[in-house]
Amino acid sequence: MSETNGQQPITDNKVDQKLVGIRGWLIFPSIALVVGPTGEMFLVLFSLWALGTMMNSNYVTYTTLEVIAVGIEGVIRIAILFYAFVAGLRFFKKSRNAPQTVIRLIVVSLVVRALLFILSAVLFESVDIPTLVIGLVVPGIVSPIWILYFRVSKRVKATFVNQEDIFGLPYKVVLPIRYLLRRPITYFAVLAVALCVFIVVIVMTVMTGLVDDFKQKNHDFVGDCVVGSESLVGFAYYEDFVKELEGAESVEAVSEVIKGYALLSPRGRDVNRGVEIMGIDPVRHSRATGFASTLYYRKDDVSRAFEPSYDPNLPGCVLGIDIPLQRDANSHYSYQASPSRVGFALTFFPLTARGALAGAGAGLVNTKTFYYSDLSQSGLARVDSSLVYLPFNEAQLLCGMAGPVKRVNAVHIKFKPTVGLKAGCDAAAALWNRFKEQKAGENQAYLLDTVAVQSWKSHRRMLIAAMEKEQTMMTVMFGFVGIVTVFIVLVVFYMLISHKSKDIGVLRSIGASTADIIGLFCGFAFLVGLIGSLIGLSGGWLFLLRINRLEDWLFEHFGYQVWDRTMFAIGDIPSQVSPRVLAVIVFSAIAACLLGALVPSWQAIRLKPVETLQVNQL
Amino acid sequence: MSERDIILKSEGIYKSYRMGVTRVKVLKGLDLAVERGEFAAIVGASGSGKSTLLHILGALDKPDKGIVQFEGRDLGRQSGRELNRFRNKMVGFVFQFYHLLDELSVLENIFLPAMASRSILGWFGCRKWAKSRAGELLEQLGLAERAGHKPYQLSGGERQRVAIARALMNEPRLLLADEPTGNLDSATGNGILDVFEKLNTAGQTIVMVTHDERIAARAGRIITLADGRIKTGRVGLAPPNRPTAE
Repeated sequence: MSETNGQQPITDNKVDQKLVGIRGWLIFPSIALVVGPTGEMFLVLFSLWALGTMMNSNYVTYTTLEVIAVGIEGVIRIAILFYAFVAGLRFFKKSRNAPQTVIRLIVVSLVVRALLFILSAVLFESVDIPTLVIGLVVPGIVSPIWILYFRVSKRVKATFVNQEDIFGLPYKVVLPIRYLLRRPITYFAVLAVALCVFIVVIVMTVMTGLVDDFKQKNHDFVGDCVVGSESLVGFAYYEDFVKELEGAESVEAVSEVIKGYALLSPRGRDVNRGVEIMGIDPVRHSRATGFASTLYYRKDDVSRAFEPSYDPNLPGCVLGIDIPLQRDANSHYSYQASPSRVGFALTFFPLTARGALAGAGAGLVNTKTFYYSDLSQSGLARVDSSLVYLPFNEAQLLCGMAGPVKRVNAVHIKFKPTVGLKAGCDAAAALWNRFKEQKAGENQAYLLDTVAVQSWKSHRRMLIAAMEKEQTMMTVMFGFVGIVTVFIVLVVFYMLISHKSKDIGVLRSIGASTADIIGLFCGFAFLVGLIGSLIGLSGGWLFLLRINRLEDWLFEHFGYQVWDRTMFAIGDIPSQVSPRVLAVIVFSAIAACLLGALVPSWQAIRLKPVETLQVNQL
Repeated sequence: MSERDIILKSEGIYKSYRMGVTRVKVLKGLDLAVERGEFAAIVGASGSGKSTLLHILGALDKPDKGIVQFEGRDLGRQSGRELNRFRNKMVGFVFQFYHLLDELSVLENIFLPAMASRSILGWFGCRKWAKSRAGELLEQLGLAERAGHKPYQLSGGERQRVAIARALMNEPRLLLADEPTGNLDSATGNGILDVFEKLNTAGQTIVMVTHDERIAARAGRIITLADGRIKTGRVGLAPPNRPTAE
C-alpha cells in the first residue's frame, strides 16, 4: 500500500545498536525505579501506621485536621507508588511510553514533595532546613536534568521502542478522563466547582462552628435538663423532689437555683442598674452545669467562688464578666491578678408565694452588700453582661423564698453519660408528674402547676432558634451558589457536547446504547465534581487553618474584623472542620455536577447519529 | 440468487427530508439485494441519496416507508437494544472522514466496538481476545507500528485503515463504506480499495458508496442510483466471490 501523505514509520532501522539497552546513564533511573518505589512503600506503611496510632491514641489528642492531613499524605503516596510501579514496568519493558511516564513521575513527585512540604510547614509551623534542602532543593535541581535527558538522549530514543503491552481501560473510563484533560473548557467547570466548594466549606464551617459553639455554651450554662417555673415566685417542696432526683438512676447531679432580678449599685455611688441574679450552691451547680469552667479566679476551687480573696469572711458575688470589665477590639479583657475590693449593694424585691411583694405594707425591700469575689465568662453575651451569681441561701432569703415552706425557681439536672437527652428528660418528667400528684393536697401545691420539665435545648430555644434560623438562611443562600454551579456545569457540558457530537455519532454507529452515552457524560461530570470538590476542599481547609491569623492581619493593617469583638462575644473564628459537613459538601458538589450534566446528556442521546456524522457537522 | 445467499435486502424504501418549507424526496421506492460475500458499489450523483441509503441499510437511520431485512430479519421491527446489537455485531461502518475519536489511541479506537458491547467488567474479561484480534487487524492493515499513536499523528490513508480495522473488530458480516476514498488522494485511495478487495476475497461482504465511477469499477457489482431508485446494476472488475454461506 503506498502512502503519499503519510509519515515515516516510527522505527528507525539504522539505530546504532551500541546505544540500545538499559546501560550508561540509564542505570541510575533503573536503580531509582527499584529503590524509589520500595522506599515509597515503607513511607506508605509508615503513613498508615501513623494514622492508626493517631486515631487510637489515648495520650495525645490529635485534631481532625492533623488526622486528615496524614490521611491525605497516605493517599497521595499510594497514588505515587502506583504510578512509580507503572513507570518501572514500562521502563524495564522498554516501552515507547516509558520516557514520557518517567518524566511525568519526576514532575509529579516534585510537585507533591513541594505541596507536602508546604502542608507540613503550615500545619506544624516550622521549616526544617536540612529536610528542605534534601527533600526539595536537590530534587529541584536534579529533576530538570533528568527530564532533559529523557527528552533528548539518543540512548533513550534507541532503547524505548517497544509497543505498549499494557492496554485498554474501557472507553467509558478513558474518554471522560481524556475529555477532562484535553478540553481546557472543562478546567473552568472544575474551577467553578472548586470555588463553590471553597466558599461553602468556609462559610459552613464558620457558621456550623458558631452555632455549635453557641449551643455548647448554652448547654454548659443550663445543664442537661431544667425543672423550673417562669414565674418569679418559684415553686415549693423542691427538697423532696431533689431527693427523689438524686435517687434516680439516670441522674448524675442536681442543682437548685434561685432566679430573680435586682438593682445593683457600686457602693459609694448613687448609680444603679438592673441585673439578673442566680442563687446557687457553687459546688452542686458546677456538678450539674459548666459553671466552674466559666470562673476566672476560682476555677480550680469552685467551693470558694463566693469567698473574696481579700477577705473570705465577706459575702461574695460572682459577676458576669462584662459587668466590671470591657472587651477590647481583639476580644480580650484586662484581668487583674486578683479581684479588687469592690462592694455592690444589691436591692431585691422579695415576693410571697402568691406573688405579692413581701412586706409591702411596711415598704420593705431587701438590700445587702456583696463583694466582688470572681468573674464568670460563659461566652453568652446576655448572661455575661447582666448576671450576678450569689450564694444560694442568701439569694433565697433576699428573694423571700426562705419562709417556712422554702421555694426555688428551678432545678438544673445533669444526666449520666450513658443516658440520652430525651430518655433522661422523659424520666425526669415522669418523676415530676408523680411528685406533683403526691403533693396535690399541700398548701402551695398550686405553684407546682407552673413548673415545666425541659431539655436544655427547649429551655434555651428562643436563643438557639435564632442562630439556627440564621444558619438555615445561610445554607439556603449557599444552596443558590450550588445552583449557579449546576448552571456553569450545564453550560460547559452543553458546549462540550456540541463539540463532541461527532463522537456521540461514532459511538452510536458502533452500537453504544443511550445509557452508555449518558454514562459517559455522567462519568465526566463525576470527575469534574470530584476533582473540583477536592481542590475546593483542600483550599478551604488550608484557608480555615489560617483564618484567624488572616483576620488578625486584616485588623492590624486595615482595621477590619469579620465580627466586631466589642459587640459580639466571639473569641476566635471557628475553624474546626467537621468531616460530616465535608462529606455532605463533596456529595452535594458531585450531585450538582451530575445534575448539570443531565440536560446536555439527554440532549446528546437525542442526537441522530446520521446528523452528527454528516460532513457539515465536522 | 437464492434467498439463502442474500444477506441484506431492502424493498420499497422511501425517504424524504424537510428543507425549509419544501420536502425533498431522496429515495422513492428503492429495492436492493446484496448477496453474502459480495462487494457492491453504489454510485450516483451528489445528493442522489447514496449515503442516506447506506445509513438506512446500517440502521443508523429509518426509512419513511419500506422494509430493510438483514439475514431475513426486518430491522424496522427490532427494538432499540436489538438495533444497537445489530450495529455492534453485524455491521461495520467506514466513513469518508474516518470519524476516529481524537482522544483515543489507534489501538483504543480499534477496541471501541468490542468495548461498546460489554460492561466494564465484561471488557476486562475479554481483553485477551480483543488484544489478539486487534493485533491481527493491525498487522493485516500495516498499522502495527502505529498502535500507540493518536489519530492526528497519522496520515489520511492510515486513519482510514484504522477506521477499517475498527469496523472489522467485531468480525461483522457486512461492511458499509461511505465514500471511503473521498478524502484521500488517488494513490492512497487505491491502497484502501486494495484492502477492501483483500477483505472481500477473504469472504467479507462489502457495500461501498462512491460518486467516482473508476473507484466503483473496483467492486464486483456496480449499482447506479438515480432519481431515488436503482437505475442499473453492472458487473465490476472484482472477481465474483461466493463463499459458502455461514
